[in-house]
Amino acid sequence: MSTALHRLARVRWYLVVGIVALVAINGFPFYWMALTSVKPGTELFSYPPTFFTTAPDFGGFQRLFETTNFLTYARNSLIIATGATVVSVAVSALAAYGLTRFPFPGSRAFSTAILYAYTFAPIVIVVPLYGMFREAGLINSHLGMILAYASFGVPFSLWLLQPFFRAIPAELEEAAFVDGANRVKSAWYVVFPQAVPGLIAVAVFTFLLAWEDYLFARVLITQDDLKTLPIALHDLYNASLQDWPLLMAAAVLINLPVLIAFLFVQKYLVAGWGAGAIK
Amino acid sequence: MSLTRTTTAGPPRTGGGTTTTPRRGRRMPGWFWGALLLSPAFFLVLGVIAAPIAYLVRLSFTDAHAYLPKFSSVGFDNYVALLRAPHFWDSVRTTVWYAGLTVGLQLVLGVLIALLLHQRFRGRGVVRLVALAPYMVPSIVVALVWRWLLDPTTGAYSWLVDKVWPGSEPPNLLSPNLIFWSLIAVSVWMFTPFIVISVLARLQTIDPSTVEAATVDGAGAWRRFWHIVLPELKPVLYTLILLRFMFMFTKFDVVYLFAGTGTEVRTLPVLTFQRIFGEARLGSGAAVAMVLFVLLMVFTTVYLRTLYREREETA
Repeated sequence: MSTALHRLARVRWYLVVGIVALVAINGFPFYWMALTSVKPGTELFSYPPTFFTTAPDFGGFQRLFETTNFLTYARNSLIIATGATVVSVAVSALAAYGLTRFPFPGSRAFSTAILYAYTFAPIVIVVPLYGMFREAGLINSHLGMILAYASFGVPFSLWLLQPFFRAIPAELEEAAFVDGANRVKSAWYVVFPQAVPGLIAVAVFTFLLAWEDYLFARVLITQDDLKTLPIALHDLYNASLQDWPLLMAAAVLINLPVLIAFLFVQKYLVAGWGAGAIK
Repeated sequence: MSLTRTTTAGPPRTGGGTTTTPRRGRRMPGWFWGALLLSPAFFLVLGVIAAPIAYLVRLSFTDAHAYLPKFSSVGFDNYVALLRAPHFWDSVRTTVWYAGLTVGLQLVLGVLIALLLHQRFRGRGVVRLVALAPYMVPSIVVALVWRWLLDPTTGAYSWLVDKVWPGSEPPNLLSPNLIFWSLIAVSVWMFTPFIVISVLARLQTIDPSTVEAATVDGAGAWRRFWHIVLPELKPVLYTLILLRFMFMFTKFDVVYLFAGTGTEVRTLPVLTFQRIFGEARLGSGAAVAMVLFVLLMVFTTVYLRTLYREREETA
């Protein structure tokens, strides 16, 4: 008994209170979102509210798939986000490799300059981009969206990747040359595999950037069958009758890839952010 | 310069910094490969980020309209009209308040949460995951979930107010006179995790023995934080203030999606969006974006100058 009391006395209460508050404030909105998506209509506006439902109703999900073009929007989002990720990762990996392996006069100024591009806010860029895309016929096109998101991903990706490439010893490549590999082969089989953690972090970053963006999609897409998920969800919300289980069902589904990506690469992400974001 | 061969103990090389090409029959000099590999990144960023800035300057001096193909120059008319409009100055004020308050609150809460998550306790991994979760979610989801949570008809919020202050009438947090403050709270909720990650990463590099030594010397928790941990965090915090202020100053989506375009929450990004998207006035919107851009540049320059001067004085 006395040892239990002792142990209790040593618990740092401010720590417990802080953690409980943090988990409640950060976690509850997600729980409420998931709960609402399966709440039966009778419980939706009941008071006092129910914090658990024993009769989950998947009508929200059903209406989402039957009455809206959700799958089309999801497909658009997936194509655009995947395309932007592939382009951005390829381009910034090549550039990071070039910057760290073949420094040339002004390459450092170049990498600083490209980083400044990151400070040009989307809201500033989107105005002229709309004008330029209109002239180039890139409004309402997957290609236009892919290029837009990829180039927004590149500056940060390049910044984040450089330390990874710099950490790869040049001896590795030299060993490959001795074994008869050429520059391309050694880069592909020896250098890039070493940078995989960085490449994964960059891929996740770009994918989420494109998957979650609202502004560019809103301005650069006007056709319903080309809409991405965020703008489609906003339009559903703005519809005359707000069907909350349907909206929250859509929100849950939009979050799924985010959650999977997050769980999958959490370690890399935190390490990458820590290394790249703040030096 | 960051030459990659600093660890190589090979024979000394001649010819400066561009000798990283392998010896085996490569005729192209190193800088050629460097430039070649960089070019895709260069053109992509040039085409979609740098060129638009130039185009933006041009647009801001025209009467361009989203639905009309032709436009003509109007000189400084857009800027004059903007600077004369009282609602523009309201927008500037709202933006400064929004960015200032959210950044300040994020920093204080972010450091506190990072210190909390830096402690050792069971289940820390899961708690860290939950702590970072809001940052990963799309703004549209954050906006909708919070609008739903705070909706006076849904019950959850009214129920909580009733539990804490029984019998009181819960104020409508989505009404025009309170929406600005709700927006601040939601923005802080959403963006604090970024500060947490950055500070946490830095905390992990502080040598624990210095903190332990201070404990042995009898320094309390507060003094340990103030004299040992905080000075270590200072460079990170200065960088974060700059980055986050720029970020919040130009934040559009969560403001618009959660709070709409009412005058209480019409920051400069929202005003820009309204001009180009709502009213289809590209030229006028471009002028607002230019003002936003210039304000940001001025702020960045002043901030960095002050910071460097302070560092020189203390060094």
